[in-house]
Amino acid sequence: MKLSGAMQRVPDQDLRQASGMNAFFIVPTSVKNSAKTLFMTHPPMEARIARLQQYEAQLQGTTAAAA
Amino acid sequence: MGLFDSILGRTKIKQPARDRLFAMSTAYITLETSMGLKHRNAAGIVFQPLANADFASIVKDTDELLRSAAQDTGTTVESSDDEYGYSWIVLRDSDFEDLVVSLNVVSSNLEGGGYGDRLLCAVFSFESNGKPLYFIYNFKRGSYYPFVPTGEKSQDVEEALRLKAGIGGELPMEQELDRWFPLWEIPL
Repeated sequence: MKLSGAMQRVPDQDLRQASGMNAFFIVPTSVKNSAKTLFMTHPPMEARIARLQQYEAQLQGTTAAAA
Repeated sequence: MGLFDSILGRTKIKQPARDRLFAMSTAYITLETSMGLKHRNAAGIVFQPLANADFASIVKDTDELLRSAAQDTGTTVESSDDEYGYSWIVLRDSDFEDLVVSLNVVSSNLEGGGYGDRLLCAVFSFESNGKPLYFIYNFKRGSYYPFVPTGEKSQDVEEALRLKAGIGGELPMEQELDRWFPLWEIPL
């Protein structure tokens, strides 16, 4: 399953439409804590994005953001 | 999180803490002083109304409560319905903290009546160099995210990510970007 890359994107769908669709969030979109990460050759996309966001926070001098 | 959950990749959804909405009443100072934003004297709350008398009377009581409080605080109250079937209560006040308190009146009244799950989001209106931007608080997730509209159906994601990096740990931010749903045509 190559889900991890496609998931971390800001959607264009309106919140009011999306909240009616909540029942369809069946597949867990986060692979962070799953055993699958053990068999990955690269860190998942969301871990890489998190690292980039951390750098951005450091550049702006708000390192506390690393939470 | 149990071992079984982590094998299956399940995540537990946190129950949103009620005081998270209030984080904005201090975070806005950081937004204004260190990020150059200006609040636009307006905030709104969005909920899905139910067609029963109980719900209608709670909304009516809340509205009356806000309007009577408005005589002291100077907050103006507008309510409207949108084409998605949601109701908006839009509050305008030059005192930002009054806005947060008034929003909390609405949300705690609905929660008190057992209708907390009808609450969709609260919206805070800011501007940066004259351009509007918003911080959206999702009640179900208990977290904030920025939204920078640039046109009718377009948004500036890069600017939103920059805002997230700048605000740091002061606001409980939505960590999953795929939950940063926009709100098109915000009436404030």
